[in-house]
Amino acid sequence: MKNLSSLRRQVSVLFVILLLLGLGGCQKRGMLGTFLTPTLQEEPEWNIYQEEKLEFRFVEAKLSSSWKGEYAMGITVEITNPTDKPISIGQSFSVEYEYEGEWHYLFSWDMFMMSSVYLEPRATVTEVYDVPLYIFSGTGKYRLYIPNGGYCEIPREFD
Amino acid sequence: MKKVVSVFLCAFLLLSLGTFPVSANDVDPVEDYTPIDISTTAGSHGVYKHDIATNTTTFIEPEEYAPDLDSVFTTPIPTMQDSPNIRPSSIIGTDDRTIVRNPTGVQTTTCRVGSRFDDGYLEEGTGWLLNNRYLITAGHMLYSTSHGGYADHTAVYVGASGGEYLEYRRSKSYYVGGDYVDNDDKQNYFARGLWDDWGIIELDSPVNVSGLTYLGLRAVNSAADMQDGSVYYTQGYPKDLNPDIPIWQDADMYECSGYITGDYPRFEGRSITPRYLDVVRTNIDITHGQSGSPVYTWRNGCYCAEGIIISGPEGQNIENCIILINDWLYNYINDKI
Repeated sequence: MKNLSSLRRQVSVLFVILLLLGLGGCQKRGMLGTFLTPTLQEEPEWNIYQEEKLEFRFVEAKLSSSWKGEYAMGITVEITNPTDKPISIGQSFSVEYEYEGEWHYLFSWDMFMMSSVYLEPRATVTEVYDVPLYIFSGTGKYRLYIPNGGYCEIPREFD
Repeated sequence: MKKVVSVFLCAFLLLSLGTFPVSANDVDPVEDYTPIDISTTAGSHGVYKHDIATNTTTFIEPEEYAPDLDSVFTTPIPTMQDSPNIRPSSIIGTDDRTIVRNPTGVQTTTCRVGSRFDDGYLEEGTGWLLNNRYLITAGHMLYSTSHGGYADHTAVYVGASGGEYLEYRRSKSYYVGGDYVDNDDKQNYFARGLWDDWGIIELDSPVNVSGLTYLGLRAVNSAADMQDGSVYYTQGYPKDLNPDIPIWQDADMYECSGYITGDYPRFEGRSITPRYLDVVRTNIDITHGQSGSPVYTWRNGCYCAEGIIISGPEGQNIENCIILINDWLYNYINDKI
């Protein structure tokens, strides 16, 4: 009888633990859908991939804070024009996230400055792309996409 | 009993680990909003003047050029008049930018502008001559913290289009909005720097071309001052219509027109916080390369610039942003330039 009572207690404890873990999992999955993973929205029209001609090399990522106290990651990238022709690119970029083996559009600023960057033949310039820190909360791979330019993968080692 | 406690502790620890990150959606943007003293008008937080030859920068206090708020700034400067029959393109629907092969009228004082920074970075944009010694453009054409601060020099091709231009000048000094210089990284720019993103270039020598037509200036302080049915025009050097040109200054000038659609609200978190602004929205087609272009309309017998193109949402040719030539900026130009 004592053994039966002990067994009941253990089963109850196990049930409570499983229930709590299940609720935690649901909560986490909910956050994954809204925060940690890409929002699987349609590709913005402006982000339709064009011919990419430039070469990108990740240099570093530095943490900075805004005047409001929000944190951003400044991604420094070397951009090289390997061609014999000058190429202009805009100030725009997006962040993409690898999810279940595919790259997805994840983040872009609402606005961009309307100047452009002129890369002479064989020239290399350095550019810093500021991204809100919370964007990098996922565990997968990230990369930058520069329209009409190309991609720059962001190594996880930076964080 | 100890086992049970241990199991509970383990479960609690697991749950804590699983729920530690804070979702952005969990933060109430309204609750998160903390009012901060932000300049409500461009130029009201001072101006940085940078001399290229001596590499010195001085700060000009806003009190030195504070506008008399009782005055009405409608007198266009300079006094040179334009011809009313020189009108750019018709009102836009989608993309009706048209090429300007031979600039005439106020198009002759529109300039192809390129700023070279110390690290080799070359920023492209547009500007227009205020007179034969000064050009106005976007502040981000002249200053970038991530590229070493002020541009080493800026090249100005007056009335350029298709490889032809009237004169070439270089910059001697810069005047840039204080809030922009202090907040030019992207996270701060779109929360603060954008509202002071203007710059003026002093040329190394006066432009010496006869028959140039200068835009006048008119002070406006909000979209309400501009939404009277007036058609607004602009011209500049859009990158997408000048792909891979072999010589930088050979870009074609394009013109287009549209309306002012409203004030540009400031974002706080994910919510929109209304504010009285000096930045307005427009449906004029704008793409990269047009930063610094004039936005002007016909007022009191001449074409008057009322704003400067600075930014927009990528790929959408509506709701672009224009910083206004407000009473502070107008006063500064009148007093100092």
